[in-house]
Amino acid sequence: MALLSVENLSVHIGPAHILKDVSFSMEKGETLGFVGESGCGKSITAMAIMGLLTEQATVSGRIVFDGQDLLTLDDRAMCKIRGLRIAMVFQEPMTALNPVKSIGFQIAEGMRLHLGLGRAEAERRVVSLLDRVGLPAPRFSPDLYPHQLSGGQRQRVVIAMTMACGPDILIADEPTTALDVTIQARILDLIAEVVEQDGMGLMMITHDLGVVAQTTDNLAVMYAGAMVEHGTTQAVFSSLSHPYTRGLFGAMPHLESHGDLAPGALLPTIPGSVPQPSEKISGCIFAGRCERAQDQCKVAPPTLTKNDGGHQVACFNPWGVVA
Amino acid sequence: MNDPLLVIDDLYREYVLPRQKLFAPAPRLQAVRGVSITLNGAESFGIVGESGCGKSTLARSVVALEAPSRGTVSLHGKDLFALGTAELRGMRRHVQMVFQDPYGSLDPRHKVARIIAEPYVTLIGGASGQELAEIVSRALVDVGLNPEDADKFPHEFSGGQRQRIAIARALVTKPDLIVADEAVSALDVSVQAQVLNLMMKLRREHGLAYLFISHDLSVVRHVTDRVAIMYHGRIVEQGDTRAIFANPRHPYTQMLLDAVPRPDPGLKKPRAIVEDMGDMPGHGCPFAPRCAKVKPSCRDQEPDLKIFDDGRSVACHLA
Repeated sequence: MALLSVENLSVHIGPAHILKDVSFSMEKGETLGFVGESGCGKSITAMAIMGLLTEQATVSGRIVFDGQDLLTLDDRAMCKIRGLRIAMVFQEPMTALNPVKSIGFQIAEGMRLHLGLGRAEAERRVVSLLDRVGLPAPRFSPDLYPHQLSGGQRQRVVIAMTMACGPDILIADEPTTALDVTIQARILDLIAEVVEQDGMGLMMITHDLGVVAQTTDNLAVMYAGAMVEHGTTQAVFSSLSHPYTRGLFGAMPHLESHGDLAPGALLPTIPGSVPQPSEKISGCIFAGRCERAQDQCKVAPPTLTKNDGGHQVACFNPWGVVA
Repeated sequence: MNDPLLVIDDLYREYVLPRQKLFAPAPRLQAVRGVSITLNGAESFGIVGESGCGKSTLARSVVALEAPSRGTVSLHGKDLFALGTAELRGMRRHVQMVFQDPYGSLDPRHKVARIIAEPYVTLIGGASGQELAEIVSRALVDVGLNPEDADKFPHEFSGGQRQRIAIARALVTKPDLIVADEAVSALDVSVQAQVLNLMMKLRREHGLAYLFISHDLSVVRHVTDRVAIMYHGRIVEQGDTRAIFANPRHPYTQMLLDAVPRPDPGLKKPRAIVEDMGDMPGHGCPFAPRCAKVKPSCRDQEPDLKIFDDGRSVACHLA
C-alpha cells in the first residue's frame, strides 16, 4: 500500500476552483517533484496535505496517509502528524524561523513535544542534528539566533528541524528559490542526502525544471490547478508530451547550446496567460493557449491517461503520438 | 570607432557599518572595489554574481543613485559625479532603470499614464497634455500593452504586465542605456520569456544598450554579448559571454556554472561546490577559501585582473 495516496483532491476558495481533481500516490523513499508556475496549485497541494489551508477553503477528495484520511482528522490529531510524520521546508528560511528563539530551542521544540524528550536528551540530539546538516560545533552552537546565520545556514537549520522527529515524508516547497546558486546546490545535495539516509519520501515543489531534474525520480507537471502530466522524471523530460510541459521547457533559456535556439534569438513563448481560477472552462484548461488544440479540446477536459512513453498525460493530442 | 557610451573607471564604493564597540573605529564594507567597465552603444552587457557581490551597488552608481567613494562613471564622455544638479538631471534622460520587483516599483496610487509620463515630465518636460497622452500610448504599444491601459491602476495588472509598464516608463525619455537590475527574476518562466523577448526586440528597434544584472546565468547567457563575473566587490572574469560560458577560466566562474541544476535528469554530475561561510581572508585572493585549485601564493597576494590576447580578463594567479 502506498504511504501517501491523494485521491481526487479538489480545493475551492469562494468561487475559485484552485485545485482540480488531483490524484497521485507516493511510496516510502520515493522522490516526487511538482513543477509549475505561480498559481498552478503545487503549493496548495502541499498545504492541503499538511492541513494548513485557510478556513475559507472547501476541500473534497481523500488524502490517505498510513491508512487514515487526513481530511477527516481534527486539529489535535493533525498536530500529531505534522512535524512528526510529515514535515515541511518552506521557501523563506527567515520567516520560517522564530527570530527571538535560539536555533537550538526551535530544533528541540518538535522532539520535546512529539517524542517527549527531556531537556538534556533533546540538547544532545540538537548538536548531532546540526552536525548532520553541516553546521558543526563549536562554531555553530545551538545558542545562536537566526539573524546570526546566513540564508543558506538558516535553511540548514530548517532542514534540521524537519529531520528531528524522523518523518516519513518531507515536503520541500521552493526550498532554494531565495538562495544563491552555489548555496542552492549545497542545500539540494543536503536534502537528497538526508532523504536517502532516512528513507523518507520527498515531495519537491519548485518552478525550476533544473531542480526537479536533479532531485526527483518522479514528476508531476501542474497547470492552473490541475495535474497535466505525471510519470518518471526521465520520461517526462525525454518526451515532453503535454504541450504545456513542452512550452515551459522551450521558454527557458539554457546554459548550454540547446537545439536550434541561438543566443539572442527570441525565446519560444506560450501565448496568452493563465486563466483566472474563477473562470469557468468546460474543455481543457490549456486549450486557449495551446497550438495543438482541436475541437474536442474545447468540449470536455482530458483526463490523465497513459501515453506511449508509459506515463500519464492529460491531453487529447499530446506530442510524440502520430495523429 | 565611436566613443563608448558608458565608462566605469576604477570604481570603489565603501559603506560605514554600525559601530561594534563604543571606542573602536566603525567597520567598513567595501561593496565595490576597483571595477572598470566600458560599454558601447547598443551593446548588452551582463553582470553576474551572488548576493553581496556588489552588482546592485554598481547598478545604482551607473544611474547616479549612489555616489562612489572613488573612481568615475562617465556617460557620453561626461563624469556623472562631477556635474551640477541641473546638468546631472539633463543626463538622466540617457539612462533609465528597470527594477526587480514589479509590485514595489510602481506607485499603487498613480494611474499607469502618470507612472509612464513621469520621467518625461521631470527630465524633458514641455509637452502638452495631448502630446503626453500620445507619448504614453506609444510607449504602451511598444511594450505590447493597449493604449487604453493608461487609465488603469497597477493593481489591475499581472506581474509580467507590470514589468512591461516599468519598461515603458524607462523608454519614454528615449534613453541610450537601460540598467536592468534582476528585471526578470521575479517572473514565472513563461512570462520571463515574454519579457526577455520584449527587451531584445526593443534593443533592436531602439538601438538600446543594456546593463543586465542578474544572478541567473542561463538568462545572462541568452541576452548579453559580454559579461563580467563579480565576487566580493571585484570583477574576477570578463569577456565575451559565449566564450566565458563555454570555457570559464576563473575557478569561481567554473563553480557558478557547475552549481546551476541542469534540466536533464540523465545528467547528474558530481559537483565540487564550496559554500561561502563568510570567512574573508584579510589578504590574498578573496576566493582562496573556496577554491579547489588554491596554491599557497594565492593566500599572500590578491591577483590583479589580467587582460589576455583574446580580450578575456581574469583575476587569478593560475589563469
